[in-house]
Amino acid sequence: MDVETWKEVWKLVFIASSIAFYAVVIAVAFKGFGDVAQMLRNMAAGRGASESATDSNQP
Amino acid sequence: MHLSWIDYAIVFVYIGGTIIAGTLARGAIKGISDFLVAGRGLKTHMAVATMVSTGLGLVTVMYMAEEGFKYGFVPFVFGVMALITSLIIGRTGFIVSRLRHLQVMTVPEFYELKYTRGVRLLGGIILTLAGTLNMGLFPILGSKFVVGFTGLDKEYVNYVMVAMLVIVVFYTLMGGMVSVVLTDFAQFVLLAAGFLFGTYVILNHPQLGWDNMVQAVQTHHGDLGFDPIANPGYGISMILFLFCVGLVGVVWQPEMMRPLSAESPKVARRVFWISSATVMGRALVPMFWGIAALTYFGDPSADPHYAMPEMLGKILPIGIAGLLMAGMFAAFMSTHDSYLLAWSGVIVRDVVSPIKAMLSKSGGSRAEDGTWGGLSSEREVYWVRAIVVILAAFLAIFGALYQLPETAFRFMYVTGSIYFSGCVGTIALGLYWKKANTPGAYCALILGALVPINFLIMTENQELVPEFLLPLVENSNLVGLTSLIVGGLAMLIVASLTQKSHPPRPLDFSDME
Repeated sequence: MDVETWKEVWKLVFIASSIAFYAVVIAVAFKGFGDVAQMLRNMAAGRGASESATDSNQP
Repeated sequence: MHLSWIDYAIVFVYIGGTIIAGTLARGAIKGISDFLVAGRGLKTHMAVATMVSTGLGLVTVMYMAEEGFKYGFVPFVFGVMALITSLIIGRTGFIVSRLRHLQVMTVPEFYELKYTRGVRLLGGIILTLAGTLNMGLFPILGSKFVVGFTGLDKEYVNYVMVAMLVIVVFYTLMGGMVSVVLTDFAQFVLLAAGFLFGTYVILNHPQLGWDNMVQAVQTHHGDLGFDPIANPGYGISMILFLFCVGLVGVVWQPEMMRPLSAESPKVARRVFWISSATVMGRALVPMFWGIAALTYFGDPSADPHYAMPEMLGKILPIGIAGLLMAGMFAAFMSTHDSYLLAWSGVIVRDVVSPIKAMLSKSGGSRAEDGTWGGLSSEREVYWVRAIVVILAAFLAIFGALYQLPETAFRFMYVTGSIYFSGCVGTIALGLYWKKANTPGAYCALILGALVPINFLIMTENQELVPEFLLPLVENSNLVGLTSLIVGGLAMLIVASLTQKSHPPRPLDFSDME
């Protein structure tokens, strides 16, 4: 590949990686917020991490 | 000083919040499982957030930026290889799902399940050595960023390092993995905001912008700044090494702690699948900043560890600078807390506890609370906390005294190879090849580790190295690749020859999700 092609490739790779990164960050931050709030509630109630995990895994 | 009081206020509010969260998390710690793997209760999105935060430490930002500064656009190939390997792991669950299914807390714990306690002890020692050496440069590089960014006098670099370490140690001691997960979530958001604003300002700065940066790389590095195959610092050997280490790198204990903390093997696999979309961005954005620093100062001989943060400190407006500083501080903490916890966990569970179990001649089976007959769960938590403090002190001393070989990036990869090389034989083959046995595991661990250790010794004593071995000293890519091959071959050959004398221990994955 000649150097001009490499320049174009890296530009595309940079744009694609930035879009993917910020899209995942927004989605994860939005969806994970509820889990964090639950974790904080469990801590405030004095429950151990294992106990909380067992409860949340029960059907 | 480059920053205003508003910027400092943002940073201090963030640090205060982190300390409060760490203190709160203390109540959630009832045993070693809570402390090391947060009770194995992490759901997908929290696990992704915490894994991305750990993988994107301030040290990562620094050494990726250094690569961009020194090699131009060529290091972007690292991000591409990381994407490919993450997608493979996320799709197939390679290593991750099976280790989570076995419910281990540390990677060497697998050695006792599959091989013997002796292999676990040796694996624990090698992992500890590799891990602490690998982490040795983290605090000093983080401190250099803060000093460069704020414009503090460089003589304060060691004091800043110690202050940052003290904060991290405090909240990690309080709540272990629970603290780490909570703070990582906030760090994840802050980091992304810092990345976004930093990159936006660079792209729109009159001296910078994409075209100016391409021109600067062309001027300072020529065509070799764009072509990874032709660049002698990269080339096919480096690309192959990045691919292989990307696949087995998943067994790196701080990385593996997230899947091991996930609520099921399926979630563990999904965490990799989702976070694979971030791996390229995590690598490319700091590299882009490094190239921007080269463009801004126009001096390839400048110290890249200071050039990138100094540039950011000068071009970012008030408020944005504080946000980025808080984001980078978050990056520092998110890596240090996880690494301190991971290596301390390995030292206690895979070195101290097995030695105690051997001395007391206790059996080799796992109890309900996750202990193996050595230290009790409470004593393990106690010792992990003590080792966190000792490790932090070691890091402060090491960071202040050690001089880098080649670049920080290469140092990380060579020290990582000390452990990864043994993992190909012991873990990858141990999980997927029925004939993997104990003698093969010993040979894989020892022979795999010898290659990179030898490289580090030779690098420090180049005048004593015979001329025909000099290429190995000068090219760390070859060392990494060779050590991976040696580790895998050692298991294949030795296990094949010792099947009758040492029959392999079978593992059952039939009911895995």
